[in-house]
Amino acid sequence: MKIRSNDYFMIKTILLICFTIFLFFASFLIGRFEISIKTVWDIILAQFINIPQYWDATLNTVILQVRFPRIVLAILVGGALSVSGASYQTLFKNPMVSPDILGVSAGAGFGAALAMVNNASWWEVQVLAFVFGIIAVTSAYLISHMFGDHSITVLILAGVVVSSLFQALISIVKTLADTENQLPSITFWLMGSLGKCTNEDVLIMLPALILSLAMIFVFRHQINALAAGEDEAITMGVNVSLVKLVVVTSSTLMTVSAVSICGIVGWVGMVVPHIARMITGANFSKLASTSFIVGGAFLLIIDNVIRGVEGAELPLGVMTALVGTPVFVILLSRVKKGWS
Amino acid sequence: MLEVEGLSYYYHPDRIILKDVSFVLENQDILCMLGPNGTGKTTLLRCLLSLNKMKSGRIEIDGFDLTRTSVKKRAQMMAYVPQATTMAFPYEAREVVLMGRVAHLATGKRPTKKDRLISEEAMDKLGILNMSRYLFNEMSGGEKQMVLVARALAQQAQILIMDEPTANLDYCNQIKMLQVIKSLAEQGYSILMTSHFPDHAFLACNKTVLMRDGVIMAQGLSEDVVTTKNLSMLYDTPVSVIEARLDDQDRVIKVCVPIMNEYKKR
Repeated sequence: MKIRSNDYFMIKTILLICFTIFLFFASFLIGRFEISIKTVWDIILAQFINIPQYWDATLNTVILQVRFPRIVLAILVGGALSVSGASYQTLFKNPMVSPDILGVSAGAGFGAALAMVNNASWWEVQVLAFVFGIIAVTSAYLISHMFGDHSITVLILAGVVVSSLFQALISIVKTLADTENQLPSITFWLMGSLGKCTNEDVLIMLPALILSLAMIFVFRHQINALAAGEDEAITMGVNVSLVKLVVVTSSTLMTVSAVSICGIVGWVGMVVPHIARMITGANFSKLASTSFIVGGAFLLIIDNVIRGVEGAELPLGVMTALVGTPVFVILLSRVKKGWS
Repeated sequence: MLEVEGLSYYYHPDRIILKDVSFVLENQDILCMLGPNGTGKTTLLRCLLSLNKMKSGRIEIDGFDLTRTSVKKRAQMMAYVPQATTMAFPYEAREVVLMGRVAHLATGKRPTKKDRLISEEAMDKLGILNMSRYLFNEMSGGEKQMVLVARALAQQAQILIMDEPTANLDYCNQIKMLQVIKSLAEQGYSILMTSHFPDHAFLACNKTVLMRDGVIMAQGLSEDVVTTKNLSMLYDTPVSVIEARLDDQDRVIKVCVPIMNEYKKR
């Protein structure tokens, strides 16, 4: 008998987690320094138990300060963007929605660009990106509440408006930037990269991520009912305005913390939920966790490719688009009947 | 028992959509709401479901003021069967039905075995249990409509609000739907439905409300209300309500026949 997409959820989840764990350890082998599997393993183990150090001390830094945060953040950022995309798609009942629909990326991009033209430190760039990402979504939300009938369509419309506004502001900042250093760094930031991650970034991202995932987990069945549409969800007893607020808050928090760490990474949040739906079905209570694992593995693979290419550091957002677009076209041809 | 009293609704005060609408849906009633397009039937349903906020009036279920109950409590008392649409994502029929249980879920809790059992019973009652694993979007209009009825049953509310349950269904499926509605009323549900076929008032419903331009023109038992005079006035079209004898039995039913030639003359 054919295995249906929402059978054997537990087994599939365990397999996906095993695959991601395998990928996690394998990723330590990729990079400019050739390090053997045994050395990688011993360096990690040495953090917990006493192992005599037989390797060069720089390898410690390479593994623990460079590769570890980058690998962990690839998983966390990929997972965060995917869960946030999956929640928005279900909330807005629209398969074409991505996490930046309410303007969070454009806002964060403006914040980062603004910091860069003022020669701010990397830390300040992150803070300003975070703050303006939040400002963008908050204004979209307020606009929809002040001028709209509280409906979800008006919220999307407000998001598109705010997004365009901040895109325009980014362009203004770009024209003001000096072309020697500032403009290139703005441009590269807007294309995304995990190259500058540190262990501190992991510690900053984790609380925001855990809080957001917890909120989404608590309301997962209510979010799922919204796939039937706003009105029908209300008649089924869902407090739609509360659920809407929960989804927007947690998705924004996840996306903005991801974006402020690694710049704008497109396509992951839109494509991964569709892959996840093919694996465990459309039901949001399953979709959320599957999206997180698949998204984490997806972005880690892409970042591994980037790290594996010698000579140049390809921009992450460009690579996700390069991989994401053909994947999306394939998905489109396979599941289009389910969308209509 | 659903009691509506003095319900009014408008988008702009100078154009009133519903004016002073009052009616009662008693237990096990099937109430058919008839009226031309744009007369406010759907708006009335939306007001009952609190999707639109009525400007004045009172809605009570068994003495509970509906404006003062929570969304969740309301959903446990009254379920809605919309016209069949599509889902944005490939949900299975049983997952759509299980959504109806969300009204009984505590926040953060997941559906239990009992919830699944209730959904299956609902599908079984409507004869669609064998389709529970079909993709909702790949089902026919009639099947989809049954899934949505099953979802409302899984919600375990005594009152069902149905927006044109026979719209977009073929002849056979229309009759099937009317039969389902009748058997649900026998099982204790009260049903309020809208329709564009006055015949449905005779076929399935014991009570009828005629609505025109936002006011109730007539209401009462179907036999009393659905008459040649009332229907002709309601639809602004000559209609004749006549009696027909079923072939092999002596049963007599009333049918509504539009009179084509007279329409031409006008």
